[in-house]
Amino acid sequence: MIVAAVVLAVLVAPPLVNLDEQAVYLAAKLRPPSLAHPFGTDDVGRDLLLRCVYGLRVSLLVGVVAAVVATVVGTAVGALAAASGGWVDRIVMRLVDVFSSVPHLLLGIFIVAMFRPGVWPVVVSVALTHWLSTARIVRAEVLSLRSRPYVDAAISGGASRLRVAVRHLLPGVLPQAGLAAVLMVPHAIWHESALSFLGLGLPTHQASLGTLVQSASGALLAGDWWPTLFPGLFIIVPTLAIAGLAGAWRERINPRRRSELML
Amino acid sequence: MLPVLTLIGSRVPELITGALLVETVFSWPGIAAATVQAATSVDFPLLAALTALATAAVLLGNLVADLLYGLADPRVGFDG
Repeated sequence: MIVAAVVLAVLVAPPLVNLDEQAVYLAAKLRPPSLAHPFGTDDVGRDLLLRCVYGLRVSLLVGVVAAVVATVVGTAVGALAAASGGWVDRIVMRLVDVFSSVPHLLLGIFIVAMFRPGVWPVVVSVALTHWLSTARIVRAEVLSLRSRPYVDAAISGGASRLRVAVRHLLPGVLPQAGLAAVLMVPHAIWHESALSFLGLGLPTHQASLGTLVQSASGALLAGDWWPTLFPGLFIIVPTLAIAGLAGAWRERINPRRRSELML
Repeated sequence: MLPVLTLIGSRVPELITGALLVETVFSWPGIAAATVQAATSVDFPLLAALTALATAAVLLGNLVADLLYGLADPRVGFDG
């Protein structure tokens, strides 16, 4: 429900409303929430509801694109490792270990620092730091699928390697990979917010959930709570909603494992 | 006891990530704040060194957790 509302708001609202979210009204700066501005206004008088919706749009874009890229990379690496086995498997998985021993956000900061501020460096940085778990999951899944009798049957029936991979292994892996992708979206949004909050992600004039919280921190110290609270809620509620959806999906494809939401 | 050890060991990266945000929020002049400053002013030698150190800290955390396993549960051997 919430996910549907969020997607609808993000896709439909901007063209429909057709207001400039960057418009500055210094006369109406830091107004508390009212009927005209339900979320109040920020320190240069921009409407916060509008900026939250636009920010969510940017953050969701970053999150979804990064999650898709990370899943594709992770699936490819995991499948390659499991399918080739032997020394390729060992080298690739040690490489994954090396990458995962660097703290995510730190590696993300390192990657972002190499580029000029913008949307795509953030996408690249989040994607490059998040394919590791997917690679592990896919590798384990492919390994367990490969030892099933029906795969043996296909191979002894004369099916080629490619056919076995596409017809018999891929369909088994896809639900897991898709689930990993959906679970990664909230995580990616959170990372984008963290990077932008540190002043390393998106340029400050561009509304994203992280830049909104960052530019609000000055007002918060002066006792104005609304520029922090509403973008914060915009981070928490949609990401929790997506995570809940993914959790329900996991229950369906794998009812035995019912614990720990990977947030 | 053992799950707790695993959790503590695997929490080290989160600790570093958390420090990055907390030190920025409270303008605490720690090593995480230095990391952020190095990134914003494109000071790559410092940033690289700090990243390597953080990685070493993570590995050390995992190592300590693994070693504590042997202490907490004598059945755990280290022969592999």
